[in-house]
Amino acid sequence: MVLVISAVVFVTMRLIPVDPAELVVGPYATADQRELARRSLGLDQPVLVQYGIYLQSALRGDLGRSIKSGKEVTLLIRDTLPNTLMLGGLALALAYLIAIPIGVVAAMRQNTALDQGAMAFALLGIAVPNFWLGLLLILVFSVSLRWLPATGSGGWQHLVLPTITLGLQYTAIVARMTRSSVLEVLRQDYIRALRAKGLVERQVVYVHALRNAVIPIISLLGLHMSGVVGGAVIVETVFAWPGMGRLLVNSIIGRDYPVVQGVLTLLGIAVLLANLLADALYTVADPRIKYSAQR
Amino acid sequence: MLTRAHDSRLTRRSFLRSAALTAGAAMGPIAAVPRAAQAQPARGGTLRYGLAAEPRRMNQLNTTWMTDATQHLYDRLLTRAPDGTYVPHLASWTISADKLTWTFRLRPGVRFHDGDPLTSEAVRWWFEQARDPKGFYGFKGQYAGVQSVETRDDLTVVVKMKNPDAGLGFILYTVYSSIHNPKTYEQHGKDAYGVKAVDGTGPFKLKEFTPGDKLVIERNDRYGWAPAFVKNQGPPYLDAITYRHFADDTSRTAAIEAGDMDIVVQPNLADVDRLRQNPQFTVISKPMPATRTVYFNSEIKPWSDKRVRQAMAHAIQRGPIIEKLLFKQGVPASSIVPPFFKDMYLEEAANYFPYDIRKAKELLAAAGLQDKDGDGFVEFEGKPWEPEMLVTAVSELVQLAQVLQAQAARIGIKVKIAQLDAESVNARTLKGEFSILTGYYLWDGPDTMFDWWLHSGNIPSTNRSRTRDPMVDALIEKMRRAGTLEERYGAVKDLQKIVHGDLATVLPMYHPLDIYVISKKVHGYAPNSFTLYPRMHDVWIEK
Repeated sequence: MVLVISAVVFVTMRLIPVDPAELVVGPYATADQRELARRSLGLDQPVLVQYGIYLQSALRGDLGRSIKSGKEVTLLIRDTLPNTLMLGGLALALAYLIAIPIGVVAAMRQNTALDQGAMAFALLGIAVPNFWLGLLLILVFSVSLRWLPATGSGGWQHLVLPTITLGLQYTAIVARMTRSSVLEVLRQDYIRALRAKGLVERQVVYVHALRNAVIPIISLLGLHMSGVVGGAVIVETVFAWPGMGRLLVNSIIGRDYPVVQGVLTLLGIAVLLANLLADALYTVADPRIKYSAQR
Repeated sequence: MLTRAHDSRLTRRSFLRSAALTAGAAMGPIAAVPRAAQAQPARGGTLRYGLAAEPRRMNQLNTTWMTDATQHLYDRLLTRAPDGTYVPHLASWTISADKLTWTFRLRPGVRFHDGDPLTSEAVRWWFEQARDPKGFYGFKGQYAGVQSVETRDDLTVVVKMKNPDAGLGFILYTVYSSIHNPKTYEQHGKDAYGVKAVDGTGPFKLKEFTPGDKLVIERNDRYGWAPAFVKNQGPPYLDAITYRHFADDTSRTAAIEAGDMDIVVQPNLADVDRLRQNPQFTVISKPMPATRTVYFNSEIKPWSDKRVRQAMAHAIQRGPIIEKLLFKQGVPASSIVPPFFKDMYLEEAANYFPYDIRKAKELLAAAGLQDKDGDGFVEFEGKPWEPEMLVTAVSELVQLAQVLQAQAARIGIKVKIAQLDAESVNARTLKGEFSILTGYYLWDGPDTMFDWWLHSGNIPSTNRSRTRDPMVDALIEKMRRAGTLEERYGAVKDLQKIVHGDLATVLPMYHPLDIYVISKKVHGYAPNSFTLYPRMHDVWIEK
């Protein structure tokens, strides 16, 4: 699967009508200079040969060198990936920690003001574009109140606004998903049976209903984990956060194809891993899945 | 003054006059930072600088993309004074009477960052690298007139020319002719040099380069060879400069408003007036060596008829474009050359093709383009004519295309806008599959643009309008071989007469302003119109 991803990314990059040689020698170079640069970048070789060389180097941990900055792609990824994981991880943690209780409470208090308030919040979270929310938070907390830095990295303070911005959208989606999932479970016969047995509502919801309601939420977590870099692109750009999403966008804009190729391949692998992790989490949440898998 | 300059009711000439005055005001030393003159410079502190373009490798032999830091890490043989004249920096020079020998006498006592002395050998090495047929240097063409380079002694370099070329002084001044320590360059190789190590003679040294995050340069304590016009002849006052890149204009603006940055360039245009009202900042808007243009494909009908191009030239009103699209942060252009390049700008260009709908329609009619079916738009060869304008998805360009579409409609030309990605625009332009195109340059040698953009030998790579005119070619060749700047600039003026006064294959639209938002704590920062990267020698931070 990794091979397929790398091949698709490689071929896609070659389909884009970019002349990377121009990035090296500039727009005012002669045709000879351009040709020289193409040869130096190996672009005069057939695509299959180029892919073979790329694969061989990639297996040795060499993803090439950025045309713009001149740094090795692996080093660029090494420098930016932890920042994105930290931001994405915190945003997801914040989102799930807030959203699951909100969703459960909204389901338990269906059609009350609390439920409607929670769902209005969720709707707002989904509807508000995160670049707008990010700029609004900067305006309030950085420019007006001067409580937090607006941009950059360095300390925990730099993480607060980007985490909230990125996390809010996840919170909204997860809260809605939790509510509907819990509501669905609460309508099941075994819940009625538990209530008939005299279990208190809190026990019914938190011990029995939530465990079953959590399966679709885990699926969502898998999707969110795999899409965290893509989701962070805008937030990282607004807050000038040195993450991999920003690296990807700047590389696309700058036509820095070795970086785009390296980052996209890594993202493809990340999607695979995130889905694998989500599958593993299913078995934790519901032992029957594990049991049927063993059979 | 700026407000008046952008009144759409004013003529282009009065616009330009105002622009020139604006330029003069902006070029005055530290005019916009009055407290600097009263207080004593303080040593220390790190200047935080917000860039609009991402820092890139700092080795011009391996890239044509420069970053501001390159200006401060290296020095050049010569430089430009604030009035635009070429003056000595690392070397003084003489030119022989036949203009075929340039002799450079290096300043003694100059050292590279690693402590090695600057010698004539390093300069000779640089010339060889720039001229290396196997090298990637993107401005090799500017060194084409050089025949040989010899060192006479440790401090003397003699450059023999194949033909006179006064333009050599320009390329030697630019950051693209920065002098490196050959020893360090060869130790690291062309890929790692400029990324992991930089060894120039500049007032700052490379400290840290983390692409995607920041670039940090620190003071060169040994520095004592600033150009004569710089006040501070010793090491810079600043301990360091940290550059950060903000892709988004609004984020960049917010960063300085939140106190994260001390200087930011190119803020959100809509915020400029508001920032000017903020007592915490000084906002400098200055003309820069840049021009936004519109090209026609002069190889396809009916654009091959100059009367059609001239009709479009008469239909364009630049005032509303600058006022509404640039929020007044630009000046109308009548030439590729910005007016502050007084030696080469042709004053009379301001009178070429004034806004005149009647004249434009006459020209179209004379070229056989008339509205016979009464739909309000002209037909060409009896068929509806809808020329296509290619633009990339950049809001400034899309809006410019929309304004041009509306202005062309007034004379009966129905322009169709095709919004494409940059690569597709580039590919179609190279194949000549377009009618109208936008162009832009940001380059402190506008005379060179005539060569790149208009010489028939550069079709299609850089001559995108596919201008093919024997007089233009002859003048460009004259410019290339001019022995003096006067002669060179004379050819540039003649080129403007033909290109802007007659051919109209490239229509100058506007010169955008370079905008800096500077914290009032920062003193001594004096951006200059002639150079793209302001010097940092005199900059200090109030504690």
